[in-house]
Amino acid sequence: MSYLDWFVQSIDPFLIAPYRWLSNPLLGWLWGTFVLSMWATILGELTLALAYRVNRSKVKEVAEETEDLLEKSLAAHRAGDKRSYKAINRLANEAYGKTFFLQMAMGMSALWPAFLGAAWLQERFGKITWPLPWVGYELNFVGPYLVLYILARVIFARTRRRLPYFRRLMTGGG
Amino acid sequence: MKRRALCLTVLMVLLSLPALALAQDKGGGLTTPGMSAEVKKAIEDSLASEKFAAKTKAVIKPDQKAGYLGIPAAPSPNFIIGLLWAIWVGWIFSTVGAFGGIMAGVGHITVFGLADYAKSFGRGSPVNKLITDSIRVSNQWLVGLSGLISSINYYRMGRLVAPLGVCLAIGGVAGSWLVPDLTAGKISLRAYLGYFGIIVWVLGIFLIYELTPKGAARKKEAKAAAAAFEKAVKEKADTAEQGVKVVSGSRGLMWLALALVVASALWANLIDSAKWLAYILALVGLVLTFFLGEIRFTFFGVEFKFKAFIPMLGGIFIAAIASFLGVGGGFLYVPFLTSVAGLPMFLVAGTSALCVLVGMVVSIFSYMVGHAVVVSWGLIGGELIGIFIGSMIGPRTSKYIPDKVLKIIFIILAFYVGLRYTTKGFLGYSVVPPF
Repeated sequence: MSYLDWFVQSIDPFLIAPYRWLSNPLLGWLWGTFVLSMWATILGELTLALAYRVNRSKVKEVAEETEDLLEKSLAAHRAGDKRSYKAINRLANEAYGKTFFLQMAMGMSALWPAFLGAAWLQERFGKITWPLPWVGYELNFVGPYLVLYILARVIFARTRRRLPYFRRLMTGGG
Repeated sequence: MKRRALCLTVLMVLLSLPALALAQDKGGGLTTPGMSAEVKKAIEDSLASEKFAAKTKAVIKPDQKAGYLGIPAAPSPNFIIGLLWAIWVGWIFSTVGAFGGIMAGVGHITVFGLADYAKSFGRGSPVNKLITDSIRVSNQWLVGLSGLISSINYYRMGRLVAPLGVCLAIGGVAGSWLVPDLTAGKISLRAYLGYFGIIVWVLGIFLIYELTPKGAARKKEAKAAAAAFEKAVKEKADTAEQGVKVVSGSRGLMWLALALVVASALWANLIDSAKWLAYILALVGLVLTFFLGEIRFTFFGVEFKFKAFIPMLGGIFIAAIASFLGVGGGFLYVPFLTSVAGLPMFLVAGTSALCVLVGMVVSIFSYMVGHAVVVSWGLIGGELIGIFIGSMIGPRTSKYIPDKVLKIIFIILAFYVGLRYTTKGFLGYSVVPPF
């Protein structure tokens, strides 16, 4: 058995439970998938918070360097000094590449639970489809899961101030 | 401008929903446990062909455990090796700042053993092409996610230039669906490896230039000019006009051009007939950018301008490469826009991230809906874990490794990878180990 198969089977009892809370199968599926999306969101945010916590000095350092070069390049452009503007822009390119990719790699840490959730959904509900009216196509789990995941993200963003650990993160503590 | 950028992003995400939903179900969904209809169809097509039937029967062993894409006896990417490789990719992202997408692609092609498996079905086999396209789309998923995260970050910072992003997207959307339309299912793994190798060579040559005396002198000159300028500037900048403000430009026509290319992508992928209409819509949208004239905007009170067709041309070319190879094109957008269009890096980086996102969404949509390509969700999820770990290790190690040493390491890697894939692709064998 591969590690992924082992993971999917191990986590199955925990993830399937919310699907059985409601008697209506469709509502039960939507509710269970929404709960899965919330778990994926929260786990992703915790991972992202860990990444920022571990890398905060580096992120601050590269961000400051980048801001400094931004101000200089704009000042050069404003002053009409094309040579300096191009030169500083070149330096800024390099500095910014580091910021850009570092933050991007850390940002990916917020998304891994969503994909593992999709892998579990594929194993559990891969055969379920919803026919779309008039167009002759069928939806599988991916479309509804994505909608519910985005909804979970929006709800989390609006309520994170009230959540204990995340509230502390937002105020710069912890 | 912020609202329009938000609307555009939401529109792109919504467009991707039917893509994801429909893609996995074209042909009716899973027909056997773990195997989708698309995979089943590819296997049936291979079996129906005299040229590939024998090889297909030899490679697929129904009594063995299902591996990648649910195919019996297919390699199941080794978790530990896969995780270590993904950590390596994350380390590269957070230290060098480039080349990460290429390394992710190398992982999908070589480290996970998928390429050799695809090859075992024979050149031109439908299963070979399905797995090749799956590798391409898996690369695009990782790259598309990076574009999504970056676009959100830049949008929050108010550093997205909507007209620039739209002009890039006009070319990017067209390039992103036209290339899959023209190449999906037609490119064998060997050809893909060869072209992938060429791009890696190009990157390596670019990195080498930076280490040459001329390249190093340019950087030294840039630092000296920056230091000299800083001394010379006495007065504080007037930052009353913060953020991006568009001064002039034919925006109505610009949105029309974008709508036309998006319509062309949707038509090509969802409507089975009259494909010529999709080509015409794309062509009209692209040509319209030549009539948009010059677009002027201010950023922190400083005025910038660009001719609308320049980013469009860059967008189509770069998105075509990105869509064909499954790498982001981000490393091409930024130097293109800063060097050719003369725009400041801080605006270009964020805007090009948006274009990467748009290009990848359309490309993934085209491959997965239009051509029924499938991916392994668990594989991508596992890779994201590794990238996260690597991104935490990278900043810790970068202070001990000078930039120059990092660049030398990557030049060696780029030449090795480029040489291996180019020769394996175009000659049929690699001139460097493992042969």
